Amino acid sequence: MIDEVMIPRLAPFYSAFGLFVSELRYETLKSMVVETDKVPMNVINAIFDELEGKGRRVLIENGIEESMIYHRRFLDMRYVEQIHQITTPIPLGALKSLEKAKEAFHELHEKLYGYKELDSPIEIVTFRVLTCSKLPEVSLPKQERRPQDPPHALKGKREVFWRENDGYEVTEIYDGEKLLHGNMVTGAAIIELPTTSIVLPPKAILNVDPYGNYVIKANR
Amino acid sequence: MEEYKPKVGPIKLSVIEHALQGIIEEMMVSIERTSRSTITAVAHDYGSAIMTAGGDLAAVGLGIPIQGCGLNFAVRSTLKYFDYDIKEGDLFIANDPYTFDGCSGHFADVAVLAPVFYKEKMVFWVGSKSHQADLGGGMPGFYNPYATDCFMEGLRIPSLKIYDGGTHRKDVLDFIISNSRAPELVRGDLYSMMGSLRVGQRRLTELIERHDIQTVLDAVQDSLTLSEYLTRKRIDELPEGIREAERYMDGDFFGGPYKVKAAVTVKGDELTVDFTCSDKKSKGFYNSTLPNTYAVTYTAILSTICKGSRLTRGAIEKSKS
Repeated sequence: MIDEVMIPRLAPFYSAFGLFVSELRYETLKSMVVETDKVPMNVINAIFDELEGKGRRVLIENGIEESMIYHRRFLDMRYVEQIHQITTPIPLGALKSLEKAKEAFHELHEKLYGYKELDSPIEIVTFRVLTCSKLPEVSLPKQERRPQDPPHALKGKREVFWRENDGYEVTEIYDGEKLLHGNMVTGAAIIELPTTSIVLPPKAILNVDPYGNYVIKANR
Repeated sequence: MEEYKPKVGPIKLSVIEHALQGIIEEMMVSIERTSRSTITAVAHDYGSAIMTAGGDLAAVGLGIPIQGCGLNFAVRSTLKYFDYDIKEGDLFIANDPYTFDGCSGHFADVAVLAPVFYKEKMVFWVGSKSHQADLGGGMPGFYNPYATDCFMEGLRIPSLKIYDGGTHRKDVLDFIISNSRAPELVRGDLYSMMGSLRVGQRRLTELIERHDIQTVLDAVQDSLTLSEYLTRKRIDELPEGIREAERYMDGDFFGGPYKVKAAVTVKGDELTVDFTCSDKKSKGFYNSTLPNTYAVTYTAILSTICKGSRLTRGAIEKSKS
């Protein structure tokens, strides 16, 4: 049974909020099938430089400051003659050899698929770079603690059907926007907001946390 | 027929049944993604299964259904061949349709199997089976149209240990692969299947640790009993009597066309499929072995008539052949 539920203050537009606090990411890639033991390092480094350069230009064109930009590098690799690849994270910077990349591939292969073939040659299929922007600091405002009883938030009362009590009962209706940190409401009650409604079952207890989130305990 | 109430309750049963399906999916995907042969990665001529310690199907992954649905034969034959003396860290390979009840439908379909132990007790088996590129025989690729006995088709493996108590028998694996005209493809696919068994063992152990062993074992038994109940219930709804159908297979180099006839009898809550009215066996390679016939019949009935049941051994009795 679930005993506690938290409804974020931003619930009705939580997903849009997520969009605002997400990184910008731009993926660039180049496909070139080549065995790891047969490709010179200057070719590898040149390809990554080219992809990182392209990613950086796109983010700058989109208004990101240069200092906020960072890259993540991957090589899609497989054992020679396999049909599918594994996107393997590899180190940044000018690479002297692919030893670390090959090790990372063996380990990832065993972790995903249960085995590795240390003696088999590995080939690269695709060079992949994710160019990302660091996130700006996001701080949500903290509320001061209010007294428990919220008469100012009570909108009125009306008849509501409660399955738990087998019929209609006169129930308190609250304005959710006026409920602040420290306030407490005991069910049965309905909390109305412009964009959503919270149904507080009989006996349940709702408290508002420092960020304005509604925390409900079932209290059966 | 009284409705079956699962011992672990319907919610726990659903959680564990779906967890087993999730493990099977992971095993199937790991074979597809690591295979070197298009037979596996593209045509999906392979399958995986989780079985009880006694070799009953508990969950099956469907590539080509014959593969997954036939793995219980491989486990039971292996148990009998090794006199039930199975250790933790053993891993077996088999492709023979004839030893005991057979391990596979034909030589091409090579099974790898491993027991799953928990606190030193054998609790499950995991297995994978896939169609290999070639293992010798009169012609490349197993379908030798001139073959009049199985020895002309390829290498026959009743059941061999590739891992003995955790120690890799490199000589056994190398011997098998040396009999192939496509050794690198076969080696790649065998490793790929062995990897899937490790994935299965890992995930089953995690499942057992999350729920406790007795609950998981009880849930599997519930699943088997429930699938029997649902299948019998469905068969009971069908009109009683015998129905027959026949089809012809094109001739091979030795005769034909060959008649395949099935007589399906429904009586009460049991359904019997009788193939004995078919033509006598061909001299050539057309004949269907017991594991193959069983798996094909099983798949046909469960996917058409018995919707809602589960693909477990509980849903079907072994055919009396």
